[in-house]
Amino acid sequence: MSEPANSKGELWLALHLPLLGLDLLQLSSAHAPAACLYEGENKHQRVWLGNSRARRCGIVPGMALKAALAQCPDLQTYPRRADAEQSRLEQLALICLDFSSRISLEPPQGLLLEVGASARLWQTKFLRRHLQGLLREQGHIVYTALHETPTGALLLARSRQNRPAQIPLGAFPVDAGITRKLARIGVHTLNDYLTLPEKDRMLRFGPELEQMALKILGRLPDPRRNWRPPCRFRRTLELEYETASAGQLLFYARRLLDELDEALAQTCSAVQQLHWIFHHYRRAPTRHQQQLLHPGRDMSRISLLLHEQLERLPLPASVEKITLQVNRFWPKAADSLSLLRDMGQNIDAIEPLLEKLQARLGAQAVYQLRALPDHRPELAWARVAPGKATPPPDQLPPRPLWLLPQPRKLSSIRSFRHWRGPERIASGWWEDDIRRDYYRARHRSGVTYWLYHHAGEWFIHGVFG
Amino acid sequence: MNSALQSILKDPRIWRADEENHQQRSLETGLAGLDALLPGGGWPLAALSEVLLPETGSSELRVLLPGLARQTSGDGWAALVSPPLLPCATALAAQGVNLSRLLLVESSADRLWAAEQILRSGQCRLLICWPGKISARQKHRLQLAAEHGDSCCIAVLADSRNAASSAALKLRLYSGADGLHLHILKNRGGRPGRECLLPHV
Repeated sequence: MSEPANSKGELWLALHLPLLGLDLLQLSSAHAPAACLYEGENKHQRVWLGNSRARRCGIVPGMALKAALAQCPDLQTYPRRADAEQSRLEQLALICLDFSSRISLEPPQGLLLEVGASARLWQTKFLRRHLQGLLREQGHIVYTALHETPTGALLLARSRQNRPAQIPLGAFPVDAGITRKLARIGVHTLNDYLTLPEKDRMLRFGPELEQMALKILGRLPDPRRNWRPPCRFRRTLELEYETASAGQLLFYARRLLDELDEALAQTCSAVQQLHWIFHHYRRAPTRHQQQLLHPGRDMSRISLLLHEQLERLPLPASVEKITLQVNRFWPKAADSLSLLRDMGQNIDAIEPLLEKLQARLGAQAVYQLRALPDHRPELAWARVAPGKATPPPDQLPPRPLWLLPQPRKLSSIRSFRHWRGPERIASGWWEDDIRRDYYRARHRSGVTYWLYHHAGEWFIHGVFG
Repeated sequence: MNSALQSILKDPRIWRADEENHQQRSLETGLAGLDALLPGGGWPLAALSEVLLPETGSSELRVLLPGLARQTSGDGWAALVSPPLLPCATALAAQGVNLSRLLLVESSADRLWAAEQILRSGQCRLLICWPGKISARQKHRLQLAAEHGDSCCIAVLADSRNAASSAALKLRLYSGADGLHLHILKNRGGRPGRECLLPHV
């Protein structure tokens, strides 16, 4: 069948990975020893998938594991890990995201890409070959097929046929009893099936097969769920040897950052919070959280920060695994250059410096001041995180340049001259009871202080300088 | 002029009366009386300046604030590293300091490290630090960092008469009956020994 797009202009490329589970164990090549994956518990263990050497020994999916072992005593057996297969499919989908935005995961062994939309950009033939190459590089055996309908493409890839009419009915994911029944009356391919009277087909062989056939013919809608790349990241890297040296840990951490960068690039996202978990042997892991001022994707900056922090991170033992976890991806702000560069409150340039300082000194130690419209000196200011614009209040009473963190009691006021004041500062009756008379007075040393009188005692609260 | 003489004249330690005010780039101090005495007309850029006074946390801000206000009024940043007391937000804003362009760093153990990082980044044109006890070697590091970032570093120190340093400018503050005296102890590229007065408020 040729490859014209259908009326909607869709063209689906199916990727079928027949030995996906064995690919993960690197047991899928022709030279690999006989091996199979099994499913089920105890007595009900059944072969799920065997590699080519196992097949040559007569191992077929669905047979009891014990029977398989009896038939081929050298057979290596592994439990099937559906979750690992699924996450592998997602990783491959991420690769495919470079070529199509409409991707559907077809577990257990397939992926679907809509390529009609980009057919003008990519020659589909070239794209198909290119993807095949990419997946082979990842260590997979892959069959591909193109068709206007998703079901058609998938079944073509699975059966390795060129034309839908030739698809053997055994390739359809339906009950084996039905296909056997059809085989008995000499119906082996889709073409054979479609020659049967249309009215009888559903009644005799059930709706499943009929619906799939109609989907391939394009007479039934065949919607697919669009796969979205995950907006989380969690990757663990096992170190080649245990180490506690910051330099070596950084080397491995950079690898994780590279992977994170790739994941971010695929979703056009940025990160703000990174969780690092350093696993030790038989000890609670050391956790470290990295916080950026703003969501960003500059990995060199993040790794510089991490370097700073790693050197100061107390590790109780050497590290055997590192996990990097990001729970939230942020939409990446478009990189834009302002036409009027000096306009506006652009703090981007100072950000790396702020992050570096905060990484070492702690977030509390790097701050800005904010003046608040309150006549009580304790409440007239606040600390804010750097980079937050702070419009000053309109009315500002005259205040000393320095404030003491706590007012200091004076034993005598004899050395003060040039008194001015008082200014009465009192709180509302509904708040803390503050009632103070403030004076400015010059000390013998020439420095002007801000003093107040309260309950018969004198206190210094500020320095005018 | 022969080349040997040329090379001698290029030495920054050689002061030439006719070249006064020509080479030093600077940030205005905002005090007209002080600017007039300094070779570049302000706090020297890419250099360390020292402000000496009997006790830190007293009159230094009066001298430093006008410069801080000018520096933060535009797009530039300024930083205060480990001030001994809390600078009063209201008073700073009243003096024209743009608080959203002023960075404060609080640290005792790492204050020199922080000052160096800020200077090297070149993001803050003006940095004022209260380093406490500081060795000549550490001063030299600040000087190098200021050169690297082309920024102005002002260290506020308790007065110690014989401390050696590579600072480009040394200023001693002391209070008199008539006001605050600013006495120039060292003035690279300018004339030392002069002083100006800020009257009491």
